[in-house]
Amino acid sequence: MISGTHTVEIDTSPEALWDYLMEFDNWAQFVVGFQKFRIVDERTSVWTLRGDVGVLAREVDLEVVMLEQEPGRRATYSITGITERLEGTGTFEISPRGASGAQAASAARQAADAEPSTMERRKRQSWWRRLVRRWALATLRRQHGEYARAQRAESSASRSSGPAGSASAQTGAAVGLGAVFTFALEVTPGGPMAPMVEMLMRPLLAPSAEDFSTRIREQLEGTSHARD
Amino acid sequence: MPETDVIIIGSGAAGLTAALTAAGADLEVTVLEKSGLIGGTSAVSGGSIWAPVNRWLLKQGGHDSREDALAYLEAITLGNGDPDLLVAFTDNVNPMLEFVVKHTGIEFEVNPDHPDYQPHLPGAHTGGRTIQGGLFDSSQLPEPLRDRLRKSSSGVPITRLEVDTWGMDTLENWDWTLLADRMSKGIVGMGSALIGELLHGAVQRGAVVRTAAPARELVRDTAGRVCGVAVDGESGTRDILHARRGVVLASGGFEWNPDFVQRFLGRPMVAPASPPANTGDGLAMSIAIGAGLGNMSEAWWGPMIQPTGDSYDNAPLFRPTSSLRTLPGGLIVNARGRRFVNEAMNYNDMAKALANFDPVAYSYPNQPCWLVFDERFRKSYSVATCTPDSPTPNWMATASTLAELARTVGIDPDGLEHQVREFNSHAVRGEDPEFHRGESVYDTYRGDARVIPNRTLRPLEEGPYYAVPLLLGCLGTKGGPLTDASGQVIDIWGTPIPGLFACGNVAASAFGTGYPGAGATLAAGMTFGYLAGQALAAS
Repeated sequence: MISGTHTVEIDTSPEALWDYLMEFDNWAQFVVGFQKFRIVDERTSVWTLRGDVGVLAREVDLEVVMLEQEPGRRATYSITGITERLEGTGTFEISPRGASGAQAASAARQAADAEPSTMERRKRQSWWRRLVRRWALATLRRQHGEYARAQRAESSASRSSGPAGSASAQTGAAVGLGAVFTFALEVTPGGPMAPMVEMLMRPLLAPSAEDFSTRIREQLEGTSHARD
Repeated sequence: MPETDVIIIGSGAAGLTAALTAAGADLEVTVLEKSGLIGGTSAVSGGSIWAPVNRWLLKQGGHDSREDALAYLEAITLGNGDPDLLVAFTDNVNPMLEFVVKHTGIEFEVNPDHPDYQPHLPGAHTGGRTIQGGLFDSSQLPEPLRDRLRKSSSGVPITRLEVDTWGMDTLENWDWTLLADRMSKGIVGMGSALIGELLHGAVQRGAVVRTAAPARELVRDTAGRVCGVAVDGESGTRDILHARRGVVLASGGFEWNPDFVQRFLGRPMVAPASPPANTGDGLAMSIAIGAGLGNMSEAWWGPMIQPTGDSYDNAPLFRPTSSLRTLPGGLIVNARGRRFVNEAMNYNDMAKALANFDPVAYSYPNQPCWLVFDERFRKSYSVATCTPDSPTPNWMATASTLAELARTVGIDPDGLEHQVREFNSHAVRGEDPEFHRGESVYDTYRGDARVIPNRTLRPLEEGPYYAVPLLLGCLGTKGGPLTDASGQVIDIWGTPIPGLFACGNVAASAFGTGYPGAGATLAAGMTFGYLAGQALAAS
């Protein structure tokens, strides 16, 4: 199994963040390699993602099913490959910023601290792994840069309720009202090629989780334009 | 004004062999690569080299002769090849290999079982002319080149001999833990390994390799000698790079240029299996200065599968079917449901049958066509990267009966049912009286050894049944500027163009319409690259 987790603090209320997350349209474009999704029923959706491995890219279809839901706090989805042998879960966790929220963020930081330092990790990683990570981050930046540009164009054309600029206004968020958002992704490739797929995906999951949660924060806080 | 001794346009095996040779003669060499990655078509190939009378075969006690090689080359080119080029190839492929071995870390071994592609022709051999290299550790390359070494679509660091041992179409038998470990260490195999070795050798001898540097125009002096190249810079500028000795075109074929394909090939080729940077730039540049052209309607043909959703370098990925077609339990039919070719023969000649033209119907009757197979086939072999235990992908049609499958994809149901009955009635005895599948030594190099009496044939059994479209594709085109025996480009009247050489798929192939054996493309490209490098060193 390979996994990636990332926690961010967002200047919006936990309730508004929950409502936002429950609408896939709000954040689908932030899923790495997103091509399309369709809702099958109230628990099930089918997603098509494009996975890039160097110069090769492949589209994969995944079935995503709601496993458990604690409104306002936590939602867990199962992920099952339709076109590839792959299983996993994706989890959203929300807590209010403040006492407990600060604790959650602190716990997340401590967990990160318990990991080997960045320098140590880098020393242990082969140059190839470092290259893949650099490439993954560059790809994510490029993909989302294109998305942000498209959003800007749309926003300037309509000057109305484009998602990127208006989310914070819609949620009524204000500095001081905050949520701690954690996104966790776990994937287990199957079949004879699993060792290879795992090796290729491992360096990608943590940057993907980081990118996903950061983009959500940027959209809700209306800061995505500044980054690009 | 920037200046060098030799400019090489393209960084495949042909170009890098020319670079290695010229740099080895202490010439200043600059390689211009159009794309961001080094290796061109060679890097996505199997990396085999077809070398008659090679020392690795002879060391094993095998036999071969110059006479056999020339007789075979004359036969495979239907007597239309330029004898000077065929002799030049035959006499220089082994000196080229010795030079490459001496100046790189390549260690070759012979594949004693790989037959020539038309083993019944005069001078053909049933094994030993194809040699293969090993793995390459790309961490040997200096930054930033190590990050720019092109990988094949699979990127799997495996040797050609491992593929043969583990089974090209039984991916579940491969040692994926070992392969993942190799990949994590930056090890590459097959064509990428060959390119890595050549690149390493050339760079060690001082060659400079520039990526994302597309050459646009050849520059000539007042006497008509090619003395430089106009190249696009990263900042959008167009710079002139001067060459004191000359320029080598090694920029690959034109298979990704739809306009050139339409104008020159004469067959409905829709599935190139090379990197998409191969748009005929070298061809265009040579036409612009009056090069004579040859072999323009030819390519290294092959029937391809297109797994929908797979892409390579942001272009559709077409996968060759060298072994898949030969496996028992499958057959290839056209829209009438009829077979039209021996499915197990070599891909170059087999694919030509996909382009047969019916003058009465005024159409290509074998376009489209499909590989049709049964459940046992599906559960036994991988189809592209779809392993037997994988979910059936959307590019693989399936149905419980042959008639239903036929209706689903657009085959005449009665025709298919009739064809399968007829095919099965012979296949049950391991026979194919119509197309003689599995009778030649080439056919039986592939197939499934567990199936007897004919490893390429058995009846289609229980459903469900499956169908995958096969597209007329190629590994690269092989028409372009004509050259003399030193690789120098000649004009329409046969006069050498001073300072201009061509090798690899950009040039008119010495092999004409034929494909002598596995690795013949690389062998010819590298040999004429070697000869061009030598000629430039002597100039």
